[in-house]
Amino acid sequence: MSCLRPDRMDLYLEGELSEPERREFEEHLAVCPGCAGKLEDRRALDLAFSSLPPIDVPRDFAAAVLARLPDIPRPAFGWLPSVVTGTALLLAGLLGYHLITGESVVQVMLSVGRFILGIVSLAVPFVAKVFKVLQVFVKLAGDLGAALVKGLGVLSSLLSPEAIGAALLLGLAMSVLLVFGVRKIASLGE
Amino acid sequence: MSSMNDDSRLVKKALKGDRKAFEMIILRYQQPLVNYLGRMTGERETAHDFAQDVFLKAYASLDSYRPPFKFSTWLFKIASNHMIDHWRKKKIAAISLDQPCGAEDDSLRIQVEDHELSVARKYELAELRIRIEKVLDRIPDGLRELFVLRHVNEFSYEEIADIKGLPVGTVKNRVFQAKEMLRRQLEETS
Repeated sequence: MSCLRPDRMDLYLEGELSEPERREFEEHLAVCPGCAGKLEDRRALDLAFSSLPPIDVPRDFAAAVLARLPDIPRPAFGWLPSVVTGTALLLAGLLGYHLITGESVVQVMLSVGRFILGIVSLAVPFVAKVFKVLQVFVKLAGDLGAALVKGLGVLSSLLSPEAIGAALLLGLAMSVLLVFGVRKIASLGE
Repeated sequence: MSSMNDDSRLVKKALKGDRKAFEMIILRYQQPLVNYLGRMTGERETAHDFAQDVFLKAYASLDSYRPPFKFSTWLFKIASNHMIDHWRKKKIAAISLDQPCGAEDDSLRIQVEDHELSVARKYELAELRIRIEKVLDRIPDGLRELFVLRHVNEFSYEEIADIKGLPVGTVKNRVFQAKEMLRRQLEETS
């Protein structure tokens, strides 16, 4: 391999060479002190290029920009298009239903109203119950966790490290036995 | 990636009129932006003024930012266009970004081989940085910009290609050309 081109040296220093290119490059470096020296020069210069000091930014720079910001013009009735579109869709739906089924629009509106009311009257108690159960569950889990941590703390202060190790091993063994036991029972059930 | 999501969230809030969110954006990007503009203009005060202008332009067109793209890339695209406008107004002979920057790759390589320098060995790092700052404005604007984006702002070549709308290969070549010019300038002034 002939001596390394300067642009290749730059790409090498910046980690931009592919893996085979890098390997070939390093093989040449190992046998060519001239290229190795030039590479070190470039490395030092690159370090200087990439570590130029930052330029001071005034403390009140952000405030100065903010003071010059114009207000972003926003439409006064930004919500209006959504309401108009929704109403138009509802009216079109009612009209379409009336044309297809022949039922009066008032009748259809009453049916829809009754349907929505039915769903709400079913959903509200259900959501309330779910919320209550979740609340109880979270409280129980919190109390249990706190008791467990406290118990472990007391246990670890009473037992020697060897005894803690033995207890952990025993716990692990019991867990394994439990898992195998459950699997056995499950397979007998089949 | 989280920074990207964070930027998108801040932009959304700013679009709803939340000035605090835009202030967060300013605080996040003021330093890199001033570093870039400072090296491009060579004047600290101008860099501050330009950075304010860039943030104001970004704010005015915030609704054109699309979250899949990086906010930093989008912001620096605005900053780069701001610099181009500035050069145009000042009628500085800025290098057209659609044309090669003087030396073609091959001819440059020959020059480089002749100028293989060891400037880095001659100076301590701190002194080298000062000298780099002094010669930075001697290289053409178009090349300097790509050098600054790469080595001061530490954008990847792909991100620079995105900011400037250039092929990645072209960006790599021009950053290399910029570094070689700097190296020659450093040698000439030593």
